[in-house]
Amino acid sequence: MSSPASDDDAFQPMPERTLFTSGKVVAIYRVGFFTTILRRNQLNFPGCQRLLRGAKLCLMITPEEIVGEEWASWYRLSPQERWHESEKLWQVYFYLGGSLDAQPDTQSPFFDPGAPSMGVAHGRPGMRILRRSRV
Amino acid sequence: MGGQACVFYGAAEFSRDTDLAILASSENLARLKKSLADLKADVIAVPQFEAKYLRKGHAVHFRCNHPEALGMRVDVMTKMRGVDAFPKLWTRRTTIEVDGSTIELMGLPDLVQAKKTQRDKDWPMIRRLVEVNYFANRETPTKDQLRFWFLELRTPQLLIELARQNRIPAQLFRQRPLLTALESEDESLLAKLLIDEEEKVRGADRQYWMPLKKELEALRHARISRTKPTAGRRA
Repeated sequence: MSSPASDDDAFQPMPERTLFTSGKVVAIYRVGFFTTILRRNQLNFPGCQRLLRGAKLCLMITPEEIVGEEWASWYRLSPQERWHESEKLWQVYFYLGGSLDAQPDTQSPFFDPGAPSMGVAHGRPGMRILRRSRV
Repeated sequence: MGGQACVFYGAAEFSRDTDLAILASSENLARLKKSLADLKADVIAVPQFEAKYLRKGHAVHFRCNHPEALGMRVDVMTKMRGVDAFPKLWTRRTTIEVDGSTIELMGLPDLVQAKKTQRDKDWPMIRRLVEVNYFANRETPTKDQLRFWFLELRTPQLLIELARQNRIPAQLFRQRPLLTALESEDESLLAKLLIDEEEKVRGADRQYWMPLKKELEALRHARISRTKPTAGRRA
């Protein structure tokens, strides 16, 4: 476990032999100050097993364990992919007649109950509510 | 019954306004004024678009009336609590290109600072912002990333994982006292300390906004009295 290091800026890796794995793709093998990234398919290379003997295996936490499948797949997208997905959301939002007015944000210091609102949906004009739930 | 339904009922939101952090120099404000005029943007709340309000830390809120940007909201600000001044933000910005246009985004660590407000909705956002960056870079982190994660991660399990792999420089313990609890690897203790940390920051934000809110309130009253017809005044 970590303990305070020197007062300088340097981050020091933990000195013990530790093998961190992030589940599917890579393992990070650390001996002293050296860090090596091993691909899963490299683990059977000659000498690899001997090198890893005695190493402590620490499983790295996967995004799924923290945020569940849906968010984890969002996390795994590249920024460009997230941008494109967000553009698709916009299209659906407008299709459903979504408004560009900001939601009332009562916790914001800028919240002004008297601020004028467009009061209309800006999206697809054909969206009408045909039936409402009782609540 | 998923996210789209939540959006329909108003509980889930995705950002529909554009927040601009700007340098409040007179030349820059003149340029911005011209761009906003091109967008036919009107100020929709107090305060008015004046440098004195921006420099105090207020935001100015616009709605665009140009047919190609009809209804778009633009919020302009120049000073945010706990966030560095604009010249530093500019040096740390992220630049992206979308359909041939260049867009300058606030750097991630600065965005995280800007999100440390009194509002509930900002805190899960901070947590996700840092988690995404951690998962994407944890295998070959830079020193700056390690510092950022130690100071900003809000996920107990990930803080513990990070501390298992890296010794923490002493100065970070001073900047973020809850790091001392990492020794215990006790997730529930860390979760509690993170809530305490959040509450402290939210309290500081409320304090910061107290005088500014009073000023906004006074400006709203002045606006209302200007628009109300004067009693007893007849033609």
